[in-house]
Amino acid sequence: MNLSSIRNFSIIAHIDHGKSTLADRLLEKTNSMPKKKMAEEQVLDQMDLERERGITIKSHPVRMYYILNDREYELHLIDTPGHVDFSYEVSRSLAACEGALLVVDATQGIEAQTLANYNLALENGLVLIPVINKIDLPGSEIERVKMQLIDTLGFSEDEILLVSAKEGIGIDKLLEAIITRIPPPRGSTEKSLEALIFDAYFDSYRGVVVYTRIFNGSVRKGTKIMMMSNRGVYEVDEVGYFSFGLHPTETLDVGEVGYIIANIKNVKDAQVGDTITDADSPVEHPLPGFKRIKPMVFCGLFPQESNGYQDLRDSLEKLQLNDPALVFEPENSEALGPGFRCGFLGTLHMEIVEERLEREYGVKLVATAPNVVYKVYTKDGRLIEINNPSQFPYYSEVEKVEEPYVRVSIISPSEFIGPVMELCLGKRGVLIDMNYIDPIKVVFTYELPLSEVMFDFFDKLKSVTRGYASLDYEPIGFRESDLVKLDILVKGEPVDALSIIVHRDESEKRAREIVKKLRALIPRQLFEIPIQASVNGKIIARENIPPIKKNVLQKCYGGDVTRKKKLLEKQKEGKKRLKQIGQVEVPQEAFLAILKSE
Amino acid sequence: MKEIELYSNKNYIIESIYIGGGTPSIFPAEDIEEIINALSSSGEVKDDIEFTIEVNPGTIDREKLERYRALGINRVSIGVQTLRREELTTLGRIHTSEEALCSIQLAKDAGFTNINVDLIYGIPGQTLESWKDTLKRVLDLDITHISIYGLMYEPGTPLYKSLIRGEVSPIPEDTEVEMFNITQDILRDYSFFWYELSNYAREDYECRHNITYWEGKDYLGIGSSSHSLIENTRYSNTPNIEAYIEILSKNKTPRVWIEKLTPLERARELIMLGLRMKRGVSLSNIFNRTGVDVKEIFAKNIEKLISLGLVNYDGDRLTLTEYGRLLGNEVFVEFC
Ligand SMILES: Nc1nc2c(ncn2[C@@H]2O[C@H](COP(=O)(O)OP(=O)(O)OP(=O)(O)O)[C@@H](O)[C@H]2O)c(=O)[nH]1
Ligand SMILES: [Mg+2]
Repeated sequence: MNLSSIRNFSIIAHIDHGKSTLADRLLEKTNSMPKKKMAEEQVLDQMDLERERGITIKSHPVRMYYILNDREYELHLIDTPGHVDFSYEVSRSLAACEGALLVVDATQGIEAQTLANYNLALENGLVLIPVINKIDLPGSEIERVKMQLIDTLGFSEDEILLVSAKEGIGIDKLLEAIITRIPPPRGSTEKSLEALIFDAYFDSYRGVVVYTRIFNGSVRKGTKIMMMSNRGVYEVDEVGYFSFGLHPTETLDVGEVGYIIANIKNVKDAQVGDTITDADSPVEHPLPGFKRIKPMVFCGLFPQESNGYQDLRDSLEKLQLNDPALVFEPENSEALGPGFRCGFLGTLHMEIVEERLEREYGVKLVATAPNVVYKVYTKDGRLIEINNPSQFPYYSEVEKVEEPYVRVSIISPSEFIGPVMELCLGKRGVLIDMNYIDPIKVVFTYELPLSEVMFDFFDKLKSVTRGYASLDYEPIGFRESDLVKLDILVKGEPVDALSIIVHRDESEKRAREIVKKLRALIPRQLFEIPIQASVNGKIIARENIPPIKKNVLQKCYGGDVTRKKKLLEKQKEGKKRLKQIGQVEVPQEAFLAILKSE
Repeated sequence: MKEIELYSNKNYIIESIYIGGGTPSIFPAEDIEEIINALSSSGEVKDDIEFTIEVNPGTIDREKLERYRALGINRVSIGVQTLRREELTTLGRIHTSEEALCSIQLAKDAGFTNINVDLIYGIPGQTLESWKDTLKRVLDLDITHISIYGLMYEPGTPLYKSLIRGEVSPIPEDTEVEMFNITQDILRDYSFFWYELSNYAREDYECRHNITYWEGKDYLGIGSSSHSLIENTRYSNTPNIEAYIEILSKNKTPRVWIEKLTPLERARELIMLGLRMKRGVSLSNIFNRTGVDVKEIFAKNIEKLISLGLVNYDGDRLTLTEYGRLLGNEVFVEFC
């Protein structure tokens, strides 16, 4: 297709503002929706987890054709997730586009990820089309939201489009705006191939399926391509575009978004962010690629079965291809054996990774409680960066500890100013700024320890603002804090996978909570199990799990045998879900229980 | 009767008979007689068989018991459960403790010399004293066999529902353990010895019929929802009475469920059942019967159980230790 007939755009917004629903309407209007999908909502959310949770997790590219004023256009839409934990999906999608639809919910107005994604799009130099969605709702406040877009984001009134994705209102106008306002891609077919890998997944038959945007040149079956990062050369097997699955085409040309399959079996050879070029006439420099993103939280993932290490490694590598925000490195736990320390963008991201590993790759996991990274300065002048509490040096060697801080933006209706400030204060927050977006909506800027924001802050924020506040954050570096390592001893033995790093003032309270929880979670065994918590070598909390004294099937005659066998099998199944630590059998939940505080 | 006739060509050799499940003693003795006649015409009944009937207090009189004896029944098993009124009410039993004591006396008067009594301990509201009292009063009547069960809350039962609703609270585990311990002392004083987890007898009065189950020997169950084990296969009859009658009227067997045991499954069962008995299980015997080398397959499990002090192993026989008796499931689960 002629470059001037191509448009590449993403749909970006705060979570739940209606991106995927809007994509449905665009697909319908352009007759791109398969018949059998007509009845579904958010059809691009095809992953089981997306459908179950009703949120978008992955970016989804799809091609559409649309005729405007007798001319046919090829549109590449990429629907993106709104949740802050998946922001890397958004920024990679934006790199494949010239424009973006910034969707704002007419009943909510501008929220924290509206701002964050707006800034991302500007950094990528994209043309933005502001779209107010859900105008069908009785609670919509179109005028107010318009004013926010104009005053806070600098749009002009006549740029703003009004739609209802649900009712299909304003879709024609929107398509027209996409074509007239978003510039066509630039580049040339004559030049050497220059294609950005913005996503990928592993297919066990065909190898890596690369999602790409062609910036120069073209690619077809038989083309010899080279990966710029490691000079790996492959012959292309198939190219095509996305439309509810893969659609093979002759060529993928400059300006287009599509996929390349080249029998790449080693996932390391297809790195997201890498540039693909012609093997025969390679370009000199790769495209800028993506900023490396730093994981915010870490946890240990261990195979439940002791022989599952290699499986877990393969699964992580394959999943990482489809989720480059995930990082991992080998970890050896005394209690849990060999596994991986994994880094995530947030706790939802962590949850999704764990679920995908279990569902898509069939691995059974034991996950430890998440934590952030710490910088520990030792008395002998070393600096140790630790992403795992078990690496915390012995307390007498510790000079000082620093923890990551984030700048947090909270957008909330002004009636909740009091409760929000109180919450942040309790979490060691420092107020930096407070501005009104409009008379009844404020943006707070706070600096807070990441560890406080990460774990239950959002839930608490939602509850003190009756669900109305939204939150975004970015790292601002490390600051000194009075932190200590809290060790948990089970039957006298410290269990490395159960230790956490806490603020000293909190340590006693947390210690008591944790031993109580563990007492409730660890099933009684044949011997007494003391559970102790210690800080700096001093026991500060203790509970005892009394031994089982009686567990026997009383009656067992002819007719009972089968039923009793079932009972025993159940008991055995229960035991299987336990991880043996020394003599003690500990359930998976115990490792996570240490996380939440009351 | 009809079902018994179905098996008449099998030429089983009958070593023991047990009429039980529900309350067979409410039927007139004539009905029991007909069953016995049918049995003896369908297989070879040995001379010295053990022949038990379950009776519930309040459903029998001297005359009925004498008729039983005349029919060749030589053992009665009486579901006394407890002698305390409140405890009987908690269990949902309709008989009184007077009726219970009376039925033991009646059985003796009718000439029975082999009498079993079922008792339950660990009933909500029960105390160490009340349990001792029940146990001693029963033993004073000079019976020969006693089955003692710790109370179990079986899902679906009214007691289980009351437990879930919080209307009854289970007695503390420590008390239950103490009850178990004093039970052992008292029984020893009365010259009873344990031979299976819940069963105690005077010398030579072990229940031969039940030992069949624990030794994994064949048995044939007759009646709705009864079970059988024949040549490594377990069968069970439909629990639905109407269906049971319907199927039989068409001259078909009412067996609705069959489980063919593999040698390994068979071996596991033999351990699980055999370990219930004081004499335990002989691993060489299991090997001879199933071809499964338990010692080899479960080496780790056996080692673990020995180190936990739950079982003893003399090179052939695996037996529960004194401590293991209250923790049977922890042992059995290693073999399932
Ligand atoms: N009334 C009304 N509801 C809408 C409209 N658009 C979307 N919704 C509803 O808003 C909810 C969220 O819609 P989605 O399309 O999943 O939102 P999203 O922005 O894709 O969400 P994430 O991908 O998870 O960030 C759904 O319940 C939709 O039915 C609209 O125009 N009107
Ligand atoms: Mg979505």
